[in-house]
Amino acid sequence: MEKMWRIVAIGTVFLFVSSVVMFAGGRAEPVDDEVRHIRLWQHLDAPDEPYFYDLIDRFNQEHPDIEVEFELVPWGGAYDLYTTSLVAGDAADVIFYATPAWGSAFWEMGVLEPLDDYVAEWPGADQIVDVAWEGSRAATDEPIFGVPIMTLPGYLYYRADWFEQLGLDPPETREAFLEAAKRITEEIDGAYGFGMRGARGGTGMMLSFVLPTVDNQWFDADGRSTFRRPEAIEAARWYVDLFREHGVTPPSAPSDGFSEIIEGFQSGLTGMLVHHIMSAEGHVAALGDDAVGISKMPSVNGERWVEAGMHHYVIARDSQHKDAAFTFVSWITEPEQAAFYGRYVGAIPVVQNVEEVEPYFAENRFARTAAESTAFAYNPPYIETLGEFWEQSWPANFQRALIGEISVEEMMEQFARTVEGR
Amino acid sequence: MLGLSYPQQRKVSPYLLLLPAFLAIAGVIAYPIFRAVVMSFQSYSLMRPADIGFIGLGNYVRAIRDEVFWLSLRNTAVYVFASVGFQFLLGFGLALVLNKRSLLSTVSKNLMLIPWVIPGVLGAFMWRWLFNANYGLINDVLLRLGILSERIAWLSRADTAMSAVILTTVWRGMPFFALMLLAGLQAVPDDLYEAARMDGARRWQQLLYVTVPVIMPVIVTTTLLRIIWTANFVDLIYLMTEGGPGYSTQVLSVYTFMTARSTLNYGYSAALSIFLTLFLMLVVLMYIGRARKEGIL
Repeated sequence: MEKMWRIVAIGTVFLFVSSVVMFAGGRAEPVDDEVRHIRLWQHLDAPDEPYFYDLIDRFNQEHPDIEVEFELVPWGGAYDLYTTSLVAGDAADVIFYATPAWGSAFWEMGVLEPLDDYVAEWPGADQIVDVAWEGSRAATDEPIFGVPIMTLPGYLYYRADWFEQLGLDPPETREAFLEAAKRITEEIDGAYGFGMRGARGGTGMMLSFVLPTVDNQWFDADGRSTFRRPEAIEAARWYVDLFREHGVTPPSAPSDGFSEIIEGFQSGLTGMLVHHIMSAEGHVAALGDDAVGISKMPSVNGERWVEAGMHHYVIARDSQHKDAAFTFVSWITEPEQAAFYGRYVGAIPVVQNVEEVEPYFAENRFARTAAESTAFAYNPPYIETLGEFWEQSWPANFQRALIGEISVEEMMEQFARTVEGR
Repeated sequence: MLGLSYPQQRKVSPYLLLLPAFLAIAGVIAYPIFRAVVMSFQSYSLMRPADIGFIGLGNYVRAIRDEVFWLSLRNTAVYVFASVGFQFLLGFGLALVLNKRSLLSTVSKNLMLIPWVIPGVLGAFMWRWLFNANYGLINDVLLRLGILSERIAWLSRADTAMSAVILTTVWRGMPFFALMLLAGLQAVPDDLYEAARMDGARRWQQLLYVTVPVIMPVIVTTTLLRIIWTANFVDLIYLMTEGGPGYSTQVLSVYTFMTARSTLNYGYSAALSIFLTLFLMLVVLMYIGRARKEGIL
């Protein structure tokens, strides 16, 4: 019995001690020896392909004093992991993100390292196109918090074979776009003109038809949202009417997300689609090279706006090796690496004269159209409620307007309130 | 040991043996609940880590003024009532059929479990594609049978999306009911039926006056569990409709999750989840109270 008691007592003490040790210590810091270890968190669209891993190996070989430990993060869980870890001070040193709203959110939380001093001393900074830096800070007089590497501007995919059959030209304007959508819906059996994305992720698609009517500005000089302006409301009504009035989208448009619109275009359900270069390969595989046409986003009143889809690297404020982290970030965003990466993952590097670094960006028609589209590819402005607008307010209220639960005016009022942070 | 006398040791030892389990429960259940309650009284947004602090009932007042909160609450009531109701009716029917001993019932018992053992995420995606307006099997079959004349975008219409989500929930939860009720049915002593037959009871009278009263405790417990689980479901609705179109399938659990995720406002999200817990407790207490009164539990 005495022995039994001893075991119970020792066991209990062990449990206490181990739990205290487990929860109190947190992550052990690597000993600062000659090699500095930095952790990198990034998602990959094609994790099975070797290109990115090759880049990391190359960096590690060229920099014997730094060891980049790459941790692949699944896209679906990335946002939760990054936000919670950054706030807890337990994130990787370097984080890659592809959604502008994330950068705004992280910066607002105060968990990112300002990079102005590093960028000022980095000669490679000049090789990044100026417009790309706009998404790297909250406002022109605010610190830089991210280094841009590539962009995924949206453009228009269309069924070239159907357009030829119907004698249509690629639509340059909003009016020509509607005309083409109507003709496809009427004359191609079982098909609809446009694959509208009504579920989460379709915000940029609608804004491409709305923002040009208000000079691509989100806010008036007094800080009020331009979404209340009559021309913006009219443009939004035009977009909603593609579904409600003209019926040129599939009836499932209110709930159609990424997979539905891609599948719809590739299976011959829709004749036009707004997406970026990353789906090009899939369209060609499904429909054949000749059937996939591309053109820049149609203009509205002579103006164009597309979502830039800028990708950035940021450094955590709590990183123990910020210098080493910036060495890596500056290396991977320099033209040679950025062009290599952009080519193989299928995005447009934001480096000056990219076609001279890598001729592929001039030769490949998808890459060329995407590169041309960067001229009017914008990041959403830095606003605290951007995530809420993009992920929650937009899908819910846009869908309500589509199914007729609220008017377009009410929808735009809701959007205005969200972006104004009310 | 520890200088304690034998009687003292006998007194202390049960608590010592229970201590590890107690610590585990305190760590993984009690503490998170306590934390959520505290958070619900705080302005706790990860967007503003510097401004975290107590704001009293601020989050609760905001919820009461929030139109989407009330919409979600109404949807939660409809969703839970309809899906648990149908799960019970169909599950009970299935249990009665399977209660006959035959080869068919053994095979069916195993097959029946499939929806229950399929991970929720997989089930939700499967049904999302089945309901797909353009390629979905459901539209295809209904068109071929001549029941529909044109395709219906089930998940894109306010009048069909909730029914589609309820149908999926019923599909998933029915096996659980069938299995639990079947276990209850198999425990009903044969002599009760024999006595009922001798008294001239017909089949439906045997069901109503023998079977149902005997398995009533099982029915009450099972429905209670399902009400709680269904009200707390996030995966199925989130993956099928994300609460849409508009707010037509937005239930409180999904609204709570989306608030936490897209706005990072954990304080408000915690208040929403406390509301959900309170409403659930109210329903459960009323339910148990009624069952006690009827002498079932």
